[in-house]
Amino acid sequence: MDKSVFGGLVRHVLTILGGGLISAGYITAEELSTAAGAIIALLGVAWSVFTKVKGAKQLPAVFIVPVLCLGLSGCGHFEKPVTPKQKYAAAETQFAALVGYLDDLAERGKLKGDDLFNTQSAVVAVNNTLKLWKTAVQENDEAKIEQYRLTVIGALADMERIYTEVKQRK
Amino acid sequence: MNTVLAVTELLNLLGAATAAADKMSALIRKANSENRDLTDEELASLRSDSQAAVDKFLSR
Repeated sequence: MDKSVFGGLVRHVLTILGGGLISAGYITAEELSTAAGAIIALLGVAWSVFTKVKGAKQLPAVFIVPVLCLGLSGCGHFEKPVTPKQKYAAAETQFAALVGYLDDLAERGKLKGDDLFNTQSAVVAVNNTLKLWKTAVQENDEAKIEQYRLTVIGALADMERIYTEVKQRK
Repeated sequence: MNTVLAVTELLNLLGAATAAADKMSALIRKANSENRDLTDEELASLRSDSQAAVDKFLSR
């Protein structure tokens, strides 16, 4: 199964699931499109690196980021984000750090070609979701806050899961 | 060699994530000490920082 087929399957699944959410009034069609774009872009990067790892035996360092992002709230040293604004702030700071790290990788020539392009696309998608998340936080829209939070974290979690699976096979 | 590089990358990444967590913690501590939640201005500042990082990365 190549990347385009994989992406198509994901899009179909998201369309079906998203259709239910739209019908139930949880999200609009535009929001579904944004969220689906973010997930597909991130999974696209995951798929790209996954296929390379199988052949080249390189460590997909970019996959480590989600582990750190997801584990952050469990670190006792740091203040745990509690309110919706704090949780959003935590995501923003980690996202900025992630992008800075990716930029550093690109600077050092370790992220280039298709990987750079796919990663940039994923970053744009998550960035757009974070904008929506911020608006939802300011409007105190709990349903949308949760939706965008899960979109970002879910996409990162999927990447982390694939990375773990790859490591276990090796 | 790959393992050494991987550990180096992990440390780089850990450093970035830790700095970000420190920044977030400082914001939350400041707000808590003033008995308030984060302000819209503080959120806007974080968004601006992220956007600047994104713009720089996309210029590659």
